[in-house]
Amino acid sequence: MSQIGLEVFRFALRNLTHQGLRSYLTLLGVVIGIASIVTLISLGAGLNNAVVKQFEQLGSNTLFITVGAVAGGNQESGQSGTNLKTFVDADVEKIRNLPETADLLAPVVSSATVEFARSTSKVAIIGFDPAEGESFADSGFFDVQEGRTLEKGDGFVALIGSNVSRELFDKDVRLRDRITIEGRSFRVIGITKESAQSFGGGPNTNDTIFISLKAFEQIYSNADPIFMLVRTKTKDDVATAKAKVERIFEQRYGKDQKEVVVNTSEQILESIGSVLGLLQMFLAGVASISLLVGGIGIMNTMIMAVLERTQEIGVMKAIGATTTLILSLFLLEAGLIGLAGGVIGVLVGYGLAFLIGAIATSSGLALDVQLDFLLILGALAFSMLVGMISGLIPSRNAANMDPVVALRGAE
Amino acid sequence: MSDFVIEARNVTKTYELGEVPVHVLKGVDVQIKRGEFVSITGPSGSGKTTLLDVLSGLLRPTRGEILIDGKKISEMDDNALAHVRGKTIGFVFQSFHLINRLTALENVMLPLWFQGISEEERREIAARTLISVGLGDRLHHRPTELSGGQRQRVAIARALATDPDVIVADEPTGNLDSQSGATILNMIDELNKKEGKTILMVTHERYVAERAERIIHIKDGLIQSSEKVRKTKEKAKGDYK
Repeated sequence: MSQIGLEVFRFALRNLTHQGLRSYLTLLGVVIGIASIVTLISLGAGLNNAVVKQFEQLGSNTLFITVGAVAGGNQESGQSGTNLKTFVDADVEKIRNLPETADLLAPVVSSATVEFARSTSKVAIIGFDPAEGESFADSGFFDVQEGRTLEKGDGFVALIGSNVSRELFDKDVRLRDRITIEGRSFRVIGITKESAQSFGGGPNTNDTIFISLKAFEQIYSNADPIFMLVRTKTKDDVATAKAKVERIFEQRYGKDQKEVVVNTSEQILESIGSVLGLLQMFLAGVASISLLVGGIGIMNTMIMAVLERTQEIGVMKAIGATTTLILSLFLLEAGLIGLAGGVIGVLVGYGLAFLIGAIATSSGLALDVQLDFLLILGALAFSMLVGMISGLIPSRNAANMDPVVALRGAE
Repeated sequence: MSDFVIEARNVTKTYELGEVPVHVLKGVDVQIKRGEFVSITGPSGSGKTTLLDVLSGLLRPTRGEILIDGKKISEMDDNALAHVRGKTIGFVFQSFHLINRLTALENVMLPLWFQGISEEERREIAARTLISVGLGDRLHHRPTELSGGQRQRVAIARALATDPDVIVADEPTGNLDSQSGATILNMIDELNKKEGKTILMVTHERYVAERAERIIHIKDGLIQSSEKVRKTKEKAKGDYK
């Protein structure tokens, strides 16, 4: 039986290669459909991978505390008294002193004019207490490529992002070079590893200059943090700590306050997951429409093929081909059109996904696209299935053709 | 084993053309003996091709029974009938009905495939059969690269490939020039005389029909006569035109 199956396959393949341009055009719909499915799923998974990796580095015992509008433009927040809220020192201290708190990082963010080699550029500046930063060393935010990270007692020294080092100024900024931030001279003591980490939803670390909180306070009078990372002593403390932190802000801003948002890693993962899920569902819808169009194309091609080969079907039936054989021959042919579209679709889809992934990563959005063999197999099987379903009606017409009508009709 | 390789018992065939039923066969009894050479003749529209289709199991009768090798086809489903047809009967058509994108060899291999014969064996049988019809040097030509006579010989090779008991030929010389026609008729004759194949041939031309041992004459869906052909020496030699 498998011998016959193989030969049906070869015969169908041969028929297909004789169909020429029409079957290749038919592929297009399936190619677009499968390519979009593969691109979407792998980009979604890529985004998910990157986000999960980032949060895993931070650990599941971390709280993310942000003031309401942190995602909006925080460019000038430090200096000019815009109505953007910041944390009050007393609250930060209260949180630091909670029995559940192990470590706390409250970086301050601003944007500054930076000069180097007679060129200037606007750069995001993050100031943090090196003592606090040390306990978050494993977060991956401050991994250095060259030199060292900020240490306790550091003065006007800077840890710069890889893009800051290479791209922002006329000359590459190297270790021990001096850069001027808002008129103050800083010595470069480290360059970060190129990564796609964004600092708590803020600027990408590649484009950031890190300085000590002490130096930050020398430049900006108002150095209140707008973002906090709190690591609890154990994973089980997360819920208690979250409740306590929320209570602190309720005392300041009133019940049902919306000024400050407290999230756990899991909550953030979940919400990203649900947004991704929605996006993927929408895109899957687009993909199904193109697959439907592709399927109709295959059906059309197969109807034409059956009409053109009426006489041939008649002869084959006359000389002993069973209804089942003709049915499987045409079904397989339709399936192979689908499969061919699927193969091209998978190639195009992954090509696009890797391209988008590379572009996104280089522009700071983390996307970790990887080949997923289950997805490839699934896409191929699905494309073949689409072909076979589309070929079902024409194949049945072929199989049930009366040999006499098929033969004499052609004479 | 039955004496008759094909038998029709009170067979009718009616087509519904719109509201009007057209009775193409109106109750015919035919018995074809093993090894016999039978011609079916009749004027256009007499039902001779329909009779051939019914006798060869291509078409199921409206009423009556067809027996191929003693087995009732009414008791077979389409797949079983296709299998019996492929095994017992080889078809030669007026317009050859070869598959143009396959080579001569592949065309001849086709019915063997349907019988579940291995590819190696198919290739060998098909080549041998094509050589036996004088096309040893045309194995890998496509039908479009062959003359009419050569195409009909490929069709004969295809009909012979499964070594069937019966060769059914529908106006086998109808699309051929006289010389090619004579060659094909001689070939059919030899299949009957030398290899003992039963031949069932439809033709509207008397001199072609007379190559057979028996001529069934059909008119208006009824068998008018079934006469033995008395052969003179000249006729037996095959004076085609």
